[in-house]
Amino acid sequence: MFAAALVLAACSKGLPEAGPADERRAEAARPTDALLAQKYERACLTCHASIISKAPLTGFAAHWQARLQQGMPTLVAHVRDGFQGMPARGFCNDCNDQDFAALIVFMSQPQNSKE
Amino acid sequence: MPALSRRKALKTMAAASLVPTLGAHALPARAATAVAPTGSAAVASGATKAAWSNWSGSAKAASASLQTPADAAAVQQLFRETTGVVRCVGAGHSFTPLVPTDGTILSLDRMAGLIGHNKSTMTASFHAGTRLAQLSRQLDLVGMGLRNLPDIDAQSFAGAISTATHGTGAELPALHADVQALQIVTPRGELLECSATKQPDLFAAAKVSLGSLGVLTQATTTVLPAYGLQRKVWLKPVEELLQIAPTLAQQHRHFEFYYLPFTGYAAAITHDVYTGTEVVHPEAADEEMLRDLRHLRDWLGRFPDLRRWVAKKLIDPNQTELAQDRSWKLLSTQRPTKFNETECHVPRELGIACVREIIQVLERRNDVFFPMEFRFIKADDAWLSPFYQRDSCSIAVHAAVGEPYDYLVPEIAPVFRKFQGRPHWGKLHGHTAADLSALYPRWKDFLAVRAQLDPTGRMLNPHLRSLFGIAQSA
Repeated sequence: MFAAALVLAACSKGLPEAGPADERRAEAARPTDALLAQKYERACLTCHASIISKAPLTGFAAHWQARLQQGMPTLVAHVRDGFQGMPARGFCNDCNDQDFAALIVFMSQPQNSKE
Repeated sequence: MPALSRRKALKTMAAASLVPTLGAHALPARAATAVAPTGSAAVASGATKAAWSNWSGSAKAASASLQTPADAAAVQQLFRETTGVVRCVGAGHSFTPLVPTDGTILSLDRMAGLIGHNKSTMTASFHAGTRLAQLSRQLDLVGMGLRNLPDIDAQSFAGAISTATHGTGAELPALHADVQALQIVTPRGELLECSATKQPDLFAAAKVSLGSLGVLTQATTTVLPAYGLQRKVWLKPVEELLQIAPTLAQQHRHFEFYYLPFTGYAAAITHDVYTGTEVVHPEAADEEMLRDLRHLRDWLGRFPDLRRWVAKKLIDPNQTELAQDRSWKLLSTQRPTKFNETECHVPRELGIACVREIIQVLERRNDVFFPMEFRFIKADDAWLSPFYQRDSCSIAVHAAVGEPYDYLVPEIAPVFRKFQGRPHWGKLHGHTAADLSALYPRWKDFLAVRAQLDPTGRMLNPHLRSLFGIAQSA
């Protein structure tokens, strides 16, 4: 009964929920640019390939749609300054704003690979 | 912080479905006497000042600069060409002000990744800035894994080693105990290497050194062949669990428990080696459980007996959760809910008695809801290791960010002191240099090594000067 109540609460946002297959796709995805991929692997991957982290999942479009509507400058500011669970600079102290924007673009792109 | 991802069983604590009927008893808004900032935690690198805050917001700094050297030579150059204090930052997960300085904050983010591995000696070498999440993934790719991990994987390897970060396991020591060799750049710009046979005193001092001896640049650690674990989580009345906790710790590779305040229940968690290939990884209910415990507090906090009664009605003690996966995927995770924390390590034989008193102290405060964590750690021989020559139990008390946490040290620390506790270096504590010198047999030896390597105090910020009993700089 109580577990069911929780499920209902989780669905109340009306957004599709990411599942294990989405998580596996996020784990495997990498930016094509080698330098950006390095930064992604050591900084972003930890949380953005993990459903547990509550961070928007790499390649899972439903997690990104509303965020993208806020505009890139806002999203970059959230990374740079920290926002909710996001630590300031997103564990990438050598990233600049252009890096943050490129990483957001990469993570928010749907990953189309099928399992 | 509890690894609540393990706690699907705790979905039974869905008090959210109940509390609306109890709305008349809602607690008034609490006065947050020491509320951690919830706003931006910014590190803005620039020409003038770099504002920095740790993960929880309990420590802040306005530093002259934030530096991200690419290699050890760049660290050497930094020391040779600059003056002033240099403090390293990893993930900023220390709640104590280990990092803040008005000098230079140095991040090893660019010094990350696996350098090499050796399957004959079962060792692997990493650049010191490698975060544990990346370290585990890279080890897994070469068929290796760390013997144990803490429950958060964002820390840099250097930061985890330097603060004696640990997991749980009666026969498993903290991460630094598996380190076989270190490379360190001293404040004079020298590049030193040390191990149990090469500069052994430096090695014993450097393994846990709070970033006070220089900048760790590489570390070689013992590893195991990659392995799987099977996890079991179940709920049990806390008194019953306290009775059997030492036995469970002996029986299982990893054992820990979380006490759920004002419920009378604790969540027991075991991990044992799993040799099968089937992956079972239930969806986590961490955040839901925290939310439910908070709701129960919000609505029934003034009535602790009723709060316990309701909790017991909601908890299904027969529900268990099983998971099977790669070791690193089960042992470590991320933490969406920020918190502040105090943690102490007490002699193993005193652990259960100590945690009983901690529970009593915690439940004097009706606002407490965050689970309390109890773990086991094996002794080691690093001079400033809280586990120095002492098998230990670790007790960690948390408060969610946005909640008062100023009580953590004054109310909890007296119990820790009574039980000869050594504080976690990165968790909030009130121990002074005098306290610490009595708790650490090699304290003076460590300070001598520190003075030799850093006579001008370039690695010392006000917090470290206070800890070490060194006069504050002018």
